[in-house]
Amino acid sequence: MKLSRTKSLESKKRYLYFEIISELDINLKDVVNAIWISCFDLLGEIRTANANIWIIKNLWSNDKHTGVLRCSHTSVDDIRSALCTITEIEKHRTIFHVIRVSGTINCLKI
Amino acid sequence: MRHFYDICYLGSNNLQELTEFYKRFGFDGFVLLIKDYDSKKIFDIKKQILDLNEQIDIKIGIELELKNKNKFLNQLRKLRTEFPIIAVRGGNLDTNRLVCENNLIDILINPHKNRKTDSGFDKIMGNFAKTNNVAIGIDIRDFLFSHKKNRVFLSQSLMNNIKICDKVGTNIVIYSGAISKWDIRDPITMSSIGFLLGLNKDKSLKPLQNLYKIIKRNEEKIDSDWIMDGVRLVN
Repeated sequence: MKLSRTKSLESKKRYLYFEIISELDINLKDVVNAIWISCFDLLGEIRTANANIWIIKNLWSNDKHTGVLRCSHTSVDDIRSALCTITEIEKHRTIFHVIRVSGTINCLKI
Repeated sequence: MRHFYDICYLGSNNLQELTEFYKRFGFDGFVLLIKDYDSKKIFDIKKQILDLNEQIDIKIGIELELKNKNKFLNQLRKLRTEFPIIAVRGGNLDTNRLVCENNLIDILINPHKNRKTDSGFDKIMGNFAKTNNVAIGIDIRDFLFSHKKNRVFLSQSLMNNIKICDKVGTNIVIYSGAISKWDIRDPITMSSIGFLLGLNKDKSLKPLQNLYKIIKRNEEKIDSDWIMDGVRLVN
């Protein structure tokens, strides 16, 4: 018998709508790398694994430099502080600014 | 109502850029800390603030360093009536103790600075700081720009100081300590760093609002109608 996917099996998620304030234009690839490096540096591998991070690629805006990051609902503060430790991307000074946190993508009002 | 204030230094960026960023991140105001007293420099900055005419509240504070104890105490009495915020950079155990025992000082900045064996702050100092209304300052800039081993040692001492403050009931002030506009972070992010360093989830926003309370209290004291705590001259 094939089991249907139920809501109770899914872990609770939070979506972080962030903007990047930077001196110059930046790619999504560099942003993703910076996020992973800062998470490993500050939280370590185990806590990063618990955070269950996922960067949603199709919601990245190249013009506004905004994007959405998914994480588990218990580790929002960890991820927020890991993101704020990013001071440079590709040797250009940057600020990661989390604009909104929500339980669904619709509520982010992108 | 929440009032978020921050402390920064006037570094490479001008006031216009700093105010734009503070507005963007949702701060109600900020304190410009000036290292070493220079009346001409302060006059120029006050003029710049008046010219800006922004909605954001900008205050000027002073950061002192203890070199000669008698000179320092004399200077402190003179400056108290002039500035809403007086901060002293810690590091030395004697300095930290003297600051905690003095009710003319508002913030003890970085008591752990340049210390290897301890965090420069203990329970007794915490009790003194609580009775004299001295807050312990936590500089986020140090945390952001340190890496690997240095960040480990820094967070170790910060955690220790936060733990003591939490236990004794001493006020904590978390601030960005920005030198340029790129060092500024939003208040919720700064509170999440506080949470990561051991603050309670419910109390993690309090350190960001403490600065506003200190400013209000001192401005009341500077006012000519003020006689003592709880007593004010009414026409």
